[in-house]
Amino acid sequence: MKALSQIELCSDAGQIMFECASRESVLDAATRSCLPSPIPAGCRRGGCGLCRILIEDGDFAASCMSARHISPVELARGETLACRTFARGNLRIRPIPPKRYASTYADERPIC
Amino acid sequence: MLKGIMRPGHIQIRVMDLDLAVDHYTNALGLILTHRTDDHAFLKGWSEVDAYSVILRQADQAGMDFLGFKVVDHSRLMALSRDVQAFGCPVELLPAEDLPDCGERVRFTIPTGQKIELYCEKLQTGKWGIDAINPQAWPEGLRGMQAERFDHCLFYGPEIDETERLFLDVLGFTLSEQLVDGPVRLASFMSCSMKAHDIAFIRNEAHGALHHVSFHTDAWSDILRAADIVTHRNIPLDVAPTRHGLTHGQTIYFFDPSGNRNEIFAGGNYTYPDHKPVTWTLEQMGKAIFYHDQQPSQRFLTAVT
Repeated sequence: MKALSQIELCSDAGQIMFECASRESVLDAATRSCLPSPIPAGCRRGGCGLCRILIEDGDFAASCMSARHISPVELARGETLACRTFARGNLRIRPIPPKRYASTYADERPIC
Repeated sequence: MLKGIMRPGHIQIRVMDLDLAVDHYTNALGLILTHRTDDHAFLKGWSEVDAYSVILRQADQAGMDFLGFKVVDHSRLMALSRDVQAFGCPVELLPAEDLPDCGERVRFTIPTGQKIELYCEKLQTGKWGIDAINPQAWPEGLRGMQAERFDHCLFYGPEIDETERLFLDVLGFTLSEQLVDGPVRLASFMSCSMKAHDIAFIRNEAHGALHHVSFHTDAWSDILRAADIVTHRNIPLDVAPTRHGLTHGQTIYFFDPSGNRNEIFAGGNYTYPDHKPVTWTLEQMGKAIFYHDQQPSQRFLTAVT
């Protein structure tokens, strides 16, 4: 695996390329390389869900993130949080809108 | 008119890695770990007299499970329970020891979506690390930011008018500070004590969301020390040390390892029930939120759990 991956970010505003080291998150690479960041940055710890992206092409690893924002099914189809996502080769990514807080955790399951 | 609610006494926070969370809340914030199970950890600030005030729960997502207020006695607890029910919020009675060392709790969901609890009994273990009689000023052996106590929470929701009516008319809080756009209230800071806020709400479409959990320290120097620890430990910073217009408190914001926002807070205004609310208007919203920078960041306004 190469130490640096090339990230191609596609959005309605156009295409941006930046480099991402294997140990930095895609969000850290984006905020380090681009001003302003093409991906909104929030908590940077997988909780707030502002940095949702779709991996259109390429391999990645993801660490723990909030199931409210990325369900296992969504993760399996390449939706992820950029702050918890690590490139394992070159990636093509697209920012996607954060989810709305329409229902609460307790609306769906018991609190223990 | 105060109705027997004394203080925010506990909060249960969802975390996605309990070990990382315990490390953050003890070694970075300086809370004291008092009890731990496989999926829950119980902590307190050193100056708090009850057995715990912060409960961390292992979960698959971040956010807040519930915020509990301690009430002076059982008869007031039952009266408040009846009043909340009459207001239109169904109440759930949780038996004593459902939470360890805590008496029975009355739980209800407020219009903005958060779960609030009332209780009147919890084991009192006293302040941590100092003698009960002839006490020292502070205990030795504190870690990190040395947070003294859990102070308040800020929540989001579009239904803040109804939530505010519940807190003011039913639960006996006073409106200490507010941000208004003409007749529309955008932020409501409410107190059951002399503190500038024991709970606060901002009008926002994020129903049920937690904006931040705040911990009290003594002084501005503690806020700067907290900022140094944020840098030492590579904690994601949200807002560097500054002052709020609302409350005039001194502040720093950062995120816990699950993305829940923490605040370390010092100073700030006081209130009495006969005070008129301190009012900020929309055209000075920037100064109301951050008194120096006068420009709240998009992240501060939009990142919630």
